[in-house]
Amino acid sequence: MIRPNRFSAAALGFLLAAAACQNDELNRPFSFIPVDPLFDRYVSMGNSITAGFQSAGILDSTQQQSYAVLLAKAMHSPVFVPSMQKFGCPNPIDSVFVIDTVSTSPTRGKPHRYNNTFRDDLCYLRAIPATPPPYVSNVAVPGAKVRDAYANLGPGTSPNPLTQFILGGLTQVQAMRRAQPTFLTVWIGNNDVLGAATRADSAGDTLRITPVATFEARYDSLADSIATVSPSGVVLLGVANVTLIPYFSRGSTYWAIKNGLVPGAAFPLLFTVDNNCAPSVTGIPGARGDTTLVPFVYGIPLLQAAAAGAPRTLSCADTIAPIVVPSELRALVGAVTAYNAKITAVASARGWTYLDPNAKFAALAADTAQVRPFPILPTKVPGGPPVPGDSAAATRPFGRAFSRDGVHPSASTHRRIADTLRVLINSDYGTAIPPIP
Amino acid sequence: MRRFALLLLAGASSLVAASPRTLGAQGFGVYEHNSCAMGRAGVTAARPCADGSAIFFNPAGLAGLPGTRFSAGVTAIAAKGGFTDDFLNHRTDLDNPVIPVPNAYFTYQANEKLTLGLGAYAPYGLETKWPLEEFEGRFMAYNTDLRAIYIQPTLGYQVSPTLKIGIGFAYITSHLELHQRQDLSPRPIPAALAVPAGLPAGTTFGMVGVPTLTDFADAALEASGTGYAVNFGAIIKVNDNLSIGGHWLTRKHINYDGDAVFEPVATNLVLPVAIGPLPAGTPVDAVLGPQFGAGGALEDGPVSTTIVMPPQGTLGFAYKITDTWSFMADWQYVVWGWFSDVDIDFENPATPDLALHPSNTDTHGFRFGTEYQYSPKVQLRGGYLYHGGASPANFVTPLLPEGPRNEFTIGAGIEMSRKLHVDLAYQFIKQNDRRGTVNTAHGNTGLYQFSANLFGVGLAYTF
Repeated sequence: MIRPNRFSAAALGFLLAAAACQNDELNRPFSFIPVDPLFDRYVSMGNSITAGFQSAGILDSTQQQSYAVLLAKAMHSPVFVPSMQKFGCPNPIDSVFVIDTVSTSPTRGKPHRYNNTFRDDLCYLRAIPATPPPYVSNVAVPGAKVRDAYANLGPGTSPNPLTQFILGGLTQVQAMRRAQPTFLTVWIGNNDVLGAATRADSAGDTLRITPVATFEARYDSLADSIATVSPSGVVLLGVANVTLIPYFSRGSTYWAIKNGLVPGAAFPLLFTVDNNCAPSVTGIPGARGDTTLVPFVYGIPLLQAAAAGAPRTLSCADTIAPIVVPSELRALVGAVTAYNAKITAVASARGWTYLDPNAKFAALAADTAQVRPFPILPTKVPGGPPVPGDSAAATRPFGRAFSRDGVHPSASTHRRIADTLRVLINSDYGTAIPPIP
Repeated sequence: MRRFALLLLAGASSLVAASPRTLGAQGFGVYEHNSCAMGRAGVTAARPCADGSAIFFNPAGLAGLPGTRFSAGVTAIAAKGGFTDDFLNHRTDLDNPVIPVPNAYFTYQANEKLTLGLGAYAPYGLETKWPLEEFEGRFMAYNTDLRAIYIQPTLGYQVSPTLKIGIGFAYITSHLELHQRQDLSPRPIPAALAVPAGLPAGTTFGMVGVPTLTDFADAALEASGTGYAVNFGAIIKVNDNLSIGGHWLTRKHINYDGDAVFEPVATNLVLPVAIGPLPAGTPVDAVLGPQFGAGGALEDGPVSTTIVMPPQGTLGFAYKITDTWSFMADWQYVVWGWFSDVDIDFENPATPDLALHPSNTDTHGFRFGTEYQYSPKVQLRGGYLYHGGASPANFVTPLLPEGPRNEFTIGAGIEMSRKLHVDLAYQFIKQNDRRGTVNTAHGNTGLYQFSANLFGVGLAYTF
């Protein structure tokens, strides 16, 4: 005979065993398990560099090369990139010195781009993946200044089509909030000075530099917005010294080549360089070439015209609007220095981490294979200085560290930036992000 | 008798009004239709409770039920659970209120062999309610309410001393509500904007950057339908101690007709740059406005759908161990496999139809119950049941995030007087945690958790 109490005990045991059964795999998928909970949701804010803009264009492949994406992947953090469809938005440049020369063409003077076009106004819109992202983890927008991070319209903003196509009407801050980030990197402010430096008709236009006080106020507003989401970790990157980009060559470089001081390089006979482009150490009266920046979009056409038989002269005088003269250079560098002092102070006050990118860029600039002091011109361009053995004249005319616009870092530099961040984050937050693959 | 029939109809009315709204059984099934049966884990196939609830549990159980009886009860269901999203690690808790589920039965013994009955119960129904704000699944459903009330005239017949049979014809009245938000990002940009902007045909708002999960409309679908089903069963008395029995409730397609109402929800998005004829600063909501007007894709209008109320049945036994103690068990089978597609058709041709593919699988439940006559006036009951999940792994959704369950019950029956009997029951449901989805296009992106406490009380009056 079964005694009730024994039966009950057996039944209870059975029931508890049954209750413990679980049929489904309950854990988060492995690919979404970050190396540290700090990186559960990593969001990157910024401008073109962070967005993955290269060679004056952006598409899904360049976006995947962004330091922010590389870092997120190393963190094993979910990465949702607002991918642009092939061939980009706009198509990246594939041959910067192949210019549309058709006088009646609406794209006259523009460089050649992927998909065999000179048009820089094409946009293939956002790619919609089979699994739409629950949020965007890289909210950076090319062209964004500090104020653009939290406002799309109004004074001080500079929206562009990519603002629409990446954020869809949100601001970077709003898009960042949707992701509820646990970790954040912010690299913005470059465009508060870059646009002034690279303005085609008036390079170094100091009126276009965001005043330091304005920058500081805007950066505070941005920091306040970031603080509202209380991320566990934040890294602020300083403003890059835009005067180091190979978009510019020193006036003194032109002078040195012209005067036969660079072995293997020569300019057309009809191209002359004023002595005011000599370096100041020469003692030549008025020499200022080492503190004068010549954009390639100004200097190279002079060379090409001279090679074609039209005499041209490069002068480093203050009256030459398309170049950055010493006073403008000082203003640009001064702004960068002041901006970075502010960003450093913000990071310090809020307990965030600060990274000065300029040490890395300066190191790259010291290596002429990485950052060309003068672009490599294709040999078919008359007057271009020959660079024997360097077949990369078209693919990396500004050196390995920069893409084909001379402004934006190349994929290899993105990897360096990501690794620099990785080391810094591991040091400051005690994490163990593995090396960038 | 007429008076009691009116009472029963009143009970049925309250049943309809209160709605079942439960997740008390598997799929959108409900099984807690009587406090006596609930106390013994719903084990009733071979020996239904003697209070008329056999009308649902096994119509054969009416046979031989003496006198005239009326019983009514209610089960209060306090469900709790939630969804934890993989990406944001954000948990949203169910917002279900404590829900009363009434039931009512009336029986009348016409002669020694024939007993008649009328019952009102709700074998299918659910309400799943999620808080609207920040719930990732709001675009599938944030409030689903399905009610299917069966009003069933029944007869039980004692064929022989060892065989009882019964059959009932149930009139089904059902009501369906579905509330969901609409996501702007996958929507095509209206031609009136896309063409002048030079956007290719088929360009969606997502392709111009509108983030996923951007609410721009609230959709409310409400529809009703009716139908008939048959519930029949038999009980064989093998000997004085052992009975076996079973019942079957047939399938029914219910065709629903109703209305869809769409309300705009502000996106608050503003174009940062000009797109075609729209200047920078244009509010996106202004662009969307015509969608809700006459001829727009989101114009209010008629809607129809069909839902299968699947067949179900039980087979079980009851064994009298002693004069005071019985043990019983049922196997329950529900053909959820026939609930595989739900197509929601909007009469407005501009409104995209909705298609859900639950692809459910048949479920098996194993119920074990016991009843002990503690004293001449008090019966004690207990039970356990395990039930598989109807939803496949790829369709565990906010509509009905169900899964395999273990359930435990206790109960008591108390003789208050010669005519009045009270039943009390408690049931705890622990559903296995289960990965699920909030957007079937995304796959499973989170974890659903569910449990419930059920409290039942019933009164049975014998005239």
